[in-house]
Amino acid sequence: MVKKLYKHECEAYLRVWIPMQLVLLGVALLARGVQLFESDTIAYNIINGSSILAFALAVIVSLGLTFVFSVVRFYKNLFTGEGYLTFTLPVTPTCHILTKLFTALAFQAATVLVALLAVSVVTAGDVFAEILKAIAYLWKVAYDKLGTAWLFYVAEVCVLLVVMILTTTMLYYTCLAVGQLFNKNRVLAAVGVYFGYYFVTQVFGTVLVVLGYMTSLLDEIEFFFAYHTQEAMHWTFCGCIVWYGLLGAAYALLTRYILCRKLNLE
Amino acid sequence: MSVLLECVGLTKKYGSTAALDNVSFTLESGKIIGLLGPNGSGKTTFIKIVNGLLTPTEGRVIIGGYEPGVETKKLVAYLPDNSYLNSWMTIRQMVALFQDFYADFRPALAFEMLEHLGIKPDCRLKTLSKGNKEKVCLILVMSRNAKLYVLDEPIAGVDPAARDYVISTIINNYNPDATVLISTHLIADVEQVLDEVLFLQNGHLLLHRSVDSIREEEGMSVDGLFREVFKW
Repeated sequence: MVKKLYKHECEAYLRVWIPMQLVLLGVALLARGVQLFESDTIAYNIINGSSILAFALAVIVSLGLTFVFSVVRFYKNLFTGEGYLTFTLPVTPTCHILTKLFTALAFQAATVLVALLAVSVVTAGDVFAEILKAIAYLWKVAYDKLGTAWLFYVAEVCVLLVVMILTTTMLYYTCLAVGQLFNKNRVLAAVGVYFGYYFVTQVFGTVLVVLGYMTSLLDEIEFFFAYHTQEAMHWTFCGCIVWYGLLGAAYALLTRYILCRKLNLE
Repeated sequence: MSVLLECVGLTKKYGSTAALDNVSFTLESGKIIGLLGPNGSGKTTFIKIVNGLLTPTEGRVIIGGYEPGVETKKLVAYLPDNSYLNSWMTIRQMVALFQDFYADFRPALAFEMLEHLGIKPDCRLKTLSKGNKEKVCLILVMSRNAKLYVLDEPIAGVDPAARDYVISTIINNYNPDATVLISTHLIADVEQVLDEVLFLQNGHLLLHRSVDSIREEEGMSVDGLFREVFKW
């Protein structure tokens, strides 16, 4: 059943995602095509600049829309009329949440890959070769300096990115789930929940920093970073992974509870 | 006849308001049952609980031996009172979705009924009229070989000719061993197919009787009894 959920979820994404990525690659090809007619005229510079700007905008829009689509899809498929079908499929709410979450992650990753491909199209030739050389050089320098610790850093950052994307997406899902508990203006309520939560976390963070200064905890952390940099970095990355993982799990559990016990379809 | 659905002390409260209040009854297999009552009597709340869309505040409902959940969703075919199809999908994709998730779904029957109505399977659902969307919903639901069909207001938004089509579709396609629970205000239109009726009022079960006993003992139709019981 879970496989089938993923299949139908992917179909829902693909109908929007494929045209969006084709537009992005089309803009990339256009920008590259303009570069081939290199000229010093003002008209050319304006057209070239505009095509690069259009490409940059296309990348941003593509990344942003993929994320927005994942949130809209969650809302529409679960909390509008479609929810009557979704929740009467012989599948648990947990499966629905996880399918939506991991499909969103997969398409966000795919969008990043297409964006990188588009960048390689626009910079094809000498510029792209220079970029690759620079990346290879930076990698070598880091590896020479840090050894295998560098590989751990890379792995930790990759895991952290994935966990952060999952947790951020899950936070939006949770806000939508809390918002649907209201009888009117549910989307507005979800936006309110998001900003309310954001405000509370900011206040909490500020209080922690102030407490850190007052108890000299921050000085100790600074000392730890200064004298045990590598260890401190690993602790930071791993700590962030655990923290974001726990937050994401809490969001998922709250969303699951709402879907199981407090579902309030229109 | 075996008991298919058992409802014990079922209560659902929204704040201090009880949409269902200590409702208990059993439904047997192989019956067509009318779930009747005025607006706000608790019909849709009951239907949502049966389909696992709401959880009761107290009491329980057992369907085929299970509380509402994954197992009961395999047994229950549900037609809600609003369009629940993904409008961007084609009818063929919807059929595929039902086929993927419901082992009892009969795609050949669905396509046959669509052809009979002249609805092309490759149409997107958003291009269909409201009436045709409702018919497609009904076709998808009735193409399942379910144990319990729960139909919430299946004839509310359609013209009288279409009502006959809807009722004949229900009668001709449901599994005879299954139970059909029809919630409706248009009692006269469905009365001739009902075996039993449940009257709900303000969340209470007022009556659960066979249609024959109402006709024989009260000397009136179900529609007539409904009008008398719920007279303003």
